[in-house]
Amino acid sequence: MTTGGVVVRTLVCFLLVFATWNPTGYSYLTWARYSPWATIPEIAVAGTLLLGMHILFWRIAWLSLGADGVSAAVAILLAGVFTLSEFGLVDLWQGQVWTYLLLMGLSLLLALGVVWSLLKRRIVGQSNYLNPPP
Amino acid sequence: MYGIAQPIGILVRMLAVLFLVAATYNPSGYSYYHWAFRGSTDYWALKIFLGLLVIFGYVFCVYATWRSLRIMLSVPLLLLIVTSLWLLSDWGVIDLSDWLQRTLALESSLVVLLGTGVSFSLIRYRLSGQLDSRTIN
Repeated sequence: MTTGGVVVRTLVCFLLVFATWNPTGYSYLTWARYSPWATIPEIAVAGTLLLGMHILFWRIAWLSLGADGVSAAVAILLAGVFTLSEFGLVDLWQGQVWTYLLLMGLSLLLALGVVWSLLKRRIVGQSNYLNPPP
Repeated sequence: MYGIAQPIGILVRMLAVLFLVAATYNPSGYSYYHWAFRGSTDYWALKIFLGLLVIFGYVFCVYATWRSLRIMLSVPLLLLIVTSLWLLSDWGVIDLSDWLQRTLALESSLVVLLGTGVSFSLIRYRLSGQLDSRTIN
């Protein structure tokens, strides 16, 4: 697990979450919603790919973090958001700020879950084993 | 490095599965199926021997695939393969009403499914650091 590995995994998680849906109108769900009937095969291929990626990544994240890890991560992320708000760096109730913060929070949670097993093994030398297999 | 997923390693596994599937049956007429069941009755012992090797190969690949993908990933992968074939036929790249192209598409689907399955425990380990293990005692 190198710094580059963490960066790449984080970017992939952001890409996965934001490609699925984001408020700009350039996302899979918006595209699927407003496309003509003729593009259904393209929608189906992209949709199953995204679905498989989501299942794989969220499963990895859930296995490595667990309920306690997810709670801790959500609490820390929420506290971070409130800190940003306290210092006036973001205005939560202006426009779609909270939507973007929610998407970024989900991406960060996913990225943390994906890198956590590798990071923990590197930091404290404790590996995660899947037994029985996934 | 041993035990870590590398692109070349995944390619080799895919090619090995392609060899297994294509050697079992392919539309050219030169395959285990044609030799053993559509030709003469010579070499019956050799045919049984190679047949058992082929069966072993499939059992090994299917078992590894089921172990690494399970229901939650094998179903999305199958859906992805089916929708990709649908997309390709929609684009006119392949013609599924043609027997030859349909057979080749089916065989490629099997290669992609089993090849992914054989590689996926390694991919998962490299991606997430979660090692797929089984206690054998």
